[in-house]
Amino acid sequence: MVVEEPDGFREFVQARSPALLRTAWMLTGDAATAEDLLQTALVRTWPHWGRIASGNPDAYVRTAMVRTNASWRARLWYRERPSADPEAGSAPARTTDDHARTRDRIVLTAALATLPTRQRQAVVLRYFDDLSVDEVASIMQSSTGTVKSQCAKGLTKLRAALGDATGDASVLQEETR
Amino acid sequence: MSTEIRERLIALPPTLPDRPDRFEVVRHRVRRRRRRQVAGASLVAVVAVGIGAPVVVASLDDGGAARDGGGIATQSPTTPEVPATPVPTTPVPTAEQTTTSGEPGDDEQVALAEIVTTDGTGSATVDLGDRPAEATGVSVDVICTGAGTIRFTGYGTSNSCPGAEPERAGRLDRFNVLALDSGQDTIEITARAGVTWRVATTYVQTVFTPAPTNANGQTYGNQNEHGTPDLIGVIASNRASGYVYADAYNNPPVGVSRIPVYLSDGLTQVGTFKIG
Repeated sequence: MVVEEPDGFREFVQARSPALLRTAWMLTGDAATAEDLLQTALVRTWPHWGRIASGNPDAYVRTAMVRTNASWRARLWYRERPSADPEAGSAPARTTDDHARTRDRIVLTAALATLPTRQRQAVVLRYFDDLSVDEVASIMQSSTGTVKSQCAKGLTKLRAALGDATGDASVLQEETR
Repeated sequence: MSTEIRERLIALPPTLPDRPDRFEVVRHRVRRRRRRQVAGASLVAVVAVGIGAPVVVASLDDGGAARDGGGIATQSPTTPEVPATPVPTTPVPTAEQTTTSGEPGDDEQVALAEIVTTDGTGSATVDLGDRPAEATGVSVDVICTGAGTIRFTGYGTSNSCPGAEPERAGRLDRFNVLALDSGQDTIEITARAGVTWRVATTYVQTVFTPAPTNANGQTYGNQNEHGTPDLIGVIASNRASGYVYADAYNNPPVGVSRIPVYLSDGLTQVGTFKIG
């Protein structure tokens, strides 16, 4: 079967894949799954390229990744339940700045993984991809209020994991753009 | 403070490998996807024409996977994986129909056909066999024949094997259930060249059983696409099985690091669960 290549799509994939792959990693936490997620999103973007190329193709691919990510979580059925590892979250004592930074990365990665899917997606799109609340709401098909709420809850958990003391009020005040 | 969190998040991803052949891989998947869509549409047309007469469902040639069984590699010019060696599938008859009972409030997977075992090496297409009309998914059990990781392309799931494991009976013991698109009767496995694997597959039909309620009228079970019960099943820190209140699990108060785990009655505590 011959599949005609959309004009400009190859160049888009080559140019934007590194950044989009990083977003996929933030959504999945695993390099191979992130690659699969990005490829799946690009496959779904292919037939619509002619319509979106002149607009915001990045947003289209991000939308596809977010929805695919949510769909994967819903489609898989497995006999595992969330398990509270008694060792999880315990961190080595800080001895040097390098150890402290490594510890923070481990703690933050683990904390991100424990966020419910929607909170994680909101935090990644809002703070990693630096999208506006309206843009995040459009991608997640949510209201702006829900996006702000999901971001606030997600940030609270991440801050708690990192040992910060900032409360919810200051986060909500920042959600104005 | 949000700026600090943002800076930490931006610095979080590791160095991710770039794939120079990514566009070619995407094009290959587009081609395969369209073949499946055409096959599914044609099947619908054949069935529609056959209404009122003996229905003959053609075994369509999709131009890709052969139907004599075995994992067959799908090739693209720049795919680094070597072709899998087709191995005849080995039907493993079961003494009784295998039914995997779901957790309360989960889907129950009812097996519809015999288990089919396929051996392969590297990336390959696994032919699932003739698909029953009522099938909604496929149950896939990975049996380790060597060290390595295999991924089910397009599903975001994988299995890692530390090495070969002793022969197991042809039963669905450690498995994933993958939803199938209309007309889909193959799954794609991605693995490094030289990684050997064996998968046991069987078509299943998903039957939803509503979450039960306890004496207090609270629902209990697993959080899934059907919704969130009042009490969500978890494994506590002391390895006890139990349930946590959904609100405490999804929206824990600030500063709370552990929440209680109860039996399904929502009253009898059996442990705690560390969150966040």
